[in-house]
Amino acid sequence: MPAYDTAAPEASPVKILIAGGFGVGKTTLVEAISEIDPLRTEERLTSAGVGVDDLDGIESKTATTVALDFGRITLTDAGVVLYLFGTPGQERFWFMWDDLLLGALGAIVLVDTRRLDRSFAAIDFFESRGLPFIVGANCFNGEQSYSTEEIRAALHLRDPETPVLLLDVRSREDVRGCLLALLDRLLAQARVTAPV
Amino acid sequence: MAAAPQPGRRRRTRLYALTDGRTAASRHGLTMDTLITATDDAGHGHGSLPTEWQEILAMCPAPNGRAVAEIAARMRMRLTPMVVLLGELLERGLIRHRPPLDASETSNVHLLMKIRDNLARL
Repeated sequence: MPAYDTAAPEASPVKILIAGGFGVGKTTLVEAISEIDPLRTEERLTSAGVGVDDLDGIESKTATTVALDFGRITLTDAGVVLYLFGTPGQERFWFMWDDLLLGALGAIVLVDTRRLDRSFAAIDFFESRGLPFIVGANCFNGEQSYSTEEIRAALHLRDPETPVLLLDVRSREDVRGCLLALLDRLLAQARVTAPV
Repeated sequence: MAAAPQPGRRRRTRLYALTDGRTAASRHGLTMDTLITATDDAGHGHGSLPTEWQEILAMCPAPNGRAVAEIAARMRMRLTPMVVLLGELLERGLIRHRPPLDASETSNVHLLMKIRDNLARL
């Protein structure tokens, strides 16, 4: 790392992805713990060859605007600025967006147990790319009629050790608990790879 | 010739003009989570810089600055044009950039523990 001639040390950016289907509460989760109001940025992606099996995919090349909602947590003692990026709803565009995964610590996949199928794409994507993730099942109105074991079984997770947590995405405590669970998972994997 | 603005969408074409019409992806490796910090040089002759540049420099004070995505969001620009514009500022020495940690750093046990401890104390 080059030394900068500033008095205060500069923090390094790190990011965690918040994935899950439309309406599952990604932005609410970010809002619950971010030190800033969630921001939205957009990118225009050209989707050559994407969705060729779609009946409506008449054009061979289309451009789509995808939106990212994100927040930030400055972790001064750790020397990092943690950005939480909510992934765009159109999962089929993610793989074209290398920026999205590059340098990500890991991900939280939010699931709505009433619509589990909406989370399959995110789980498949992270499993195929080898990005560590945990699953958070949002308890809408504080209720969850399934156990974490039932949710885990229904999701067919490739790694049975993948943590599955119940949370209320509006709760700062719950969201922090999810982030800590993800960090524990990352730590366990890092210790296996490089024992200290 | 610059491309015609797309109908039905309000575009701040001035910014594209300021980047000499450059639209290619940045050569600087500015990703959405790269942190941008205004340099000390940026403090001199601020008044002669375009308003948009001044706005960007003002929101990225040392030491931490702001991520590219955050600057884009606050300037209401898409990521790609913002990366092109920031590349211009970088070449003029008005900003520094700090790329996200690479895989060897993000899998470092000590760093992960520090992040975890800090999160736990939030």
